[in-house]
Amino acid sequence: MADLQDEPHSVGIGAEDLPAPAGPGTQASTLERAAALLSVHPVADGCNTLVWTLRQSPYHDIETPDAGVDTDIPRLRAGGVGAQFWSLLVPSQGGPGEGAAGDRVVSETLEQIDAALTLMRRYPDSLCLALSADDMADARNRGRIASFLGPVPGRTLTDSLGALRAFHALGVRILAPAGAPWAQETLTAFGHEVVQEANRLAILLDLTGCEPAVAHRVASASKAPVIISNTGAAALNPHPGNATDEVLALLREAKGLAMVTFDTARTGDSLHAVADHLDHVRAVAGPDCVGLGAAFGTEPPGPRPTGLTDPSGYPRLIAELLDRGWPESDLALLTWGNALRVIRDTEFTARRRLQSGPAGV
Amino acid sequence: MSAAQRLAEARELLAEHPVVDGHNDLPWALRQQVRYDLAQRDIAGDQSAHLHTDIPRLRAGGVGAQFWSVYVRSDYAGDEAVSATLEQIDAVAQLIDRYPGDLVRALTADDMEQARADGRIASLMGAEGGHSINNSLATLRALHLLGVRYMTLTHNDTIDWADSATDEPRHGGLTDFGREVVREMNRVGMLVDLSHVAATTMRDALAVSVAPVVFSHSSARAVCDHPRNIPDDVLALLPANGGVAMATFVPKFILPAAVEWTLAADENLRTHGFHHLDTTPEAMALHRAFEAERPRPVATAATVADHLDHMREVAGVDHIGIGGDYDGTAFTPSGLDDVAGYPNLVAELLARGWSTADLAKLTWSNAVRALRDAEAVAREVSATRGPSNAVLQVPSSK
Repeated sequence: MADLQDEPHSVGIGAEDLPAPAGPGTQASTLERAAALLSVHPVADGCNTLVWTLRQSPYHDIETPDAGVDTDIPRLRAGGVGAQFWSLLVPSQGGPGEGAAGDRVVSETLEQIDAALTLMRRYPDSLCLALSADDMADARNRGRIASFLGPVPGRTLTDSLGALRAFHALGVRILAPAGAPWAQETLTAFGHEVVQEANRLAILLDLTGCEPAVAHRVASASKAPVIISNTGAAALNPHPGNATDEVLALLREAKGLAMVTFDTARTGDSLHAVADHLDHVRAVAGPDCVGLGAAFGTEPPGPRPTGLTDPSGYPRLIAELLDRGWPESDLALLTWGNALRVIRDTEFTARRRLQSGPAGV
Repeated sequence: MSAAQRLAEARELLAEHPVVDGHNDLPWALRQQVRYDLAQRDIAGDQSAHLHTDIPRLRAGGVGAQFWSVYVRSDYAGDEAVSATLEQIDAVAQLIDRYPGDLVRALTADDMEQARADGRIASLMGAEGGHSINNSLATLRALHLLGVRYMTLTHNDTIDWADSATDEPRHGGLTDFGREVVREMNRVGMLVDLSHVAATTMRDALAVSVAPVVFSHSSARAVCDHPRNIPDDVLALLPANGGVAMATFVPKFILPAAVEWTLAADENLRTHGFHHLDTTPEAMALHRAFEAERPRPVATAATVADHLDHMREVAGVDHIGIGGDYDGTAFTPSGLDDVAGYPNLVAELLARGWSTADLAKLTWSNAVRALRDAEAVAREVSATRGPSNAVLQVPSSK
C-alpha cells in the first residue's frame, strides 16, 4: 500500500488533471510547467527555522501573510511546499540572559518540540505531524504539509541514549551531530552508539555543519543514508557551511541527500546563483542525491537571493532548472522523490536492525 | 474467622479489586544495580536476592496497577535531572515491552480498567520531584506526552518554586510559578502529588488545584509525627478536593520507635564523622555495630493499618489508598517485606472489621477515580486555556 501511495498518478484525480505538456518555448510556459510539476511532486524542504523565530516573536498568525517572518502558510502553499523539516536547533545555548548557562540544553530542546507541536495543533488544516514516509505521502494526498520534527542538536543528548529515545517518542525524526561533544574531531565510541541507535529508531542523521572528517565517520558508521539539510557547493563558494566535492561524493556513495540552501552568503545573491549550486551538486552527488533545504523561517530583511526571498519562490527556481534542461524526472526527484526515498530507506534499515538486537543503554 | 481464612478472603478480594500502588522505585533500582541491563534482573523470575519487586511477587501480592516512579536524585539539577528522568521513562517503556503478558502501558483510568479486565498489571508512571522539569513548563508537557501521570512537586530538597518537607523552607509553600505548575498539571491531566512536600506546600497546592491530588506514598502525622506524613487538617481537605492519600510502608516514617531509632543511628554516624546517608563499608560497619547494640524496631502490617484506620477516620474511606515505596527504601515492615505482602495488610484490615466494599475502594477504585476525575478536569480546563509559557523569575543574585 505504501508504495502505491508514493505513486502520485495512482491517487486518482491528479493524473487526468495534469496540463498537457506545453510546447517548447516561452518563459511563461516553463513557469506553468514548474507549477504543474510541483502540484504532483511538491517541495520537501530540509530546513526551516520558523519554530525558533516564533518563540522569539510569537505575535504572528502564519495563516495570514505577514511581513514579520518570511514563512507563512499562503507562501508555503504558493511555493508548492508539501513537506517541511522544521529545525529545532537554537542559535546558541547558554547565551546572555540564560539563568543556568549551559544547563538547559535538554529542556531547551523539549521546549522547541513543544512549540513545534503547538504550531501544528494551531494550523491543523495546513500542517500535519509526519513520523514516517507513509505519513509524508498521506499528507500530500490530503493536501497538508507533512511536518517532520528536527533536526535536534546532537549536544542535547548530553550522554544519554534514553534522551534520544524520548525525543523519538515525542516525534523527532532528524538529529544533527554537529557541535556535539561526541562528534568533534572524530566520532567517539559513544558517537558510534548514537549513530547505531539513530539507525535503529529510523532517525535521519543530518551532517550540516560537521567537519568533513566527522561527516565521513558518521556516513560510514551509519547503515542508513545520511543527509545535509542545508548547504551549498564549496567548489563554487568556499564558505565553511558549504559541502566540499569530497563530501558530496560521499553522499552519492551513501545514497544520501544534499539539500541546497537559498542563502546569499553560501549560494550567492540571485536565483541563478542558487541554480548554479544545484547544477554542481547534481553533477557531483548525482540526481538521486540532491534536494532543497532553503533555511527560511527567519525575520527579514535577511540576505536572500533575489527571486528566492521566501518560500513562494520555488516555482521560479524549478522554471529556471527546466530552462537549463533538467529533465522533469530529475526535478521530481529533486523536489520530492529523493527525500521520500531517503526517509523510506532509513525506515527499512531500522526494521532490519530491530530484528537484530535490543536497545543500547 | 481464623487468620488463614482471613488471608484467603483477602486474596479473593484482591483478585477482584487488585491493588493500585502509588509508588515503586524499581526503575531507579535497575539503574543503580545494573544500569538498566534488564537481562541481569529478569523480573519474570524470582529477584528477591536483589529487589522487592518481580512479576511473580506482584502477582502474589494482587497488584493490578503500579505507578512506577521515574524518580531521579534530588541533588540532580538542570539537564542532568531532565536527562535522567527521560532515561527512567525509557526504562519503564523497555520493561513494558519486555513483559507484554504481564505489564501493559496505561495512560488513563480506562486503560487501568482494561488492564484489570485483561489480567495484566496497568503500568503508569509518576515523576518524583519538580527538579525533573528544570523550571520549564514545556518539559512538564513533554513528560506528560511521554506518559507520566503524576509529579511529586518536590523530593527531599526545596526547589526554586516549592518547599520540601525535609529541607529548609524558602518560599512558605508554593511560589507564583509553583502555582502555575499546578494549574498546568491540571490542564494537561497530570495528578499533583503532595508526598515529600512541606505542609505549607500541601495547603497551597490544594488551594490552587481544581483536580484531585494524590499523596503517592505518605501516611498520617497524627499517628507518627514525621514530616513525610500528612497533617490532619490536610487530610480533612481531601473530601472536597476528591484526592487520595496513599499510605506508605516505610518504617522510619510510620513507626514512632523507628523514627527515634533512625535519628539516633544517623546521629551515631555523624558523631563518627560520616554523612548519615553514607554507604561506604566503613560507615556500614559502624551502622551494623549500632544495630547490634540497639535492635532496629520492626513495623508490621498492623502499623500500616493503624495509619489507615486514622486516615479513613479523617479523610474518609473514599480518599485513601496504598503506596508501598518498594525498592525505594532499605527496610520494610514484617509481613509486608516485599510486593507479595499486600494480602497480609488486607487480612489485617479485615480483622479490624473493614468491609469488602471499603477495602475495594482502598485497593482499587479510589485511585482510579482520582485519575478519571483529573482527566475530566483536564478536558474542561484545556477547552478554555492554552499551554502556559510562564517562566520562573529567578531573582538576580549579582
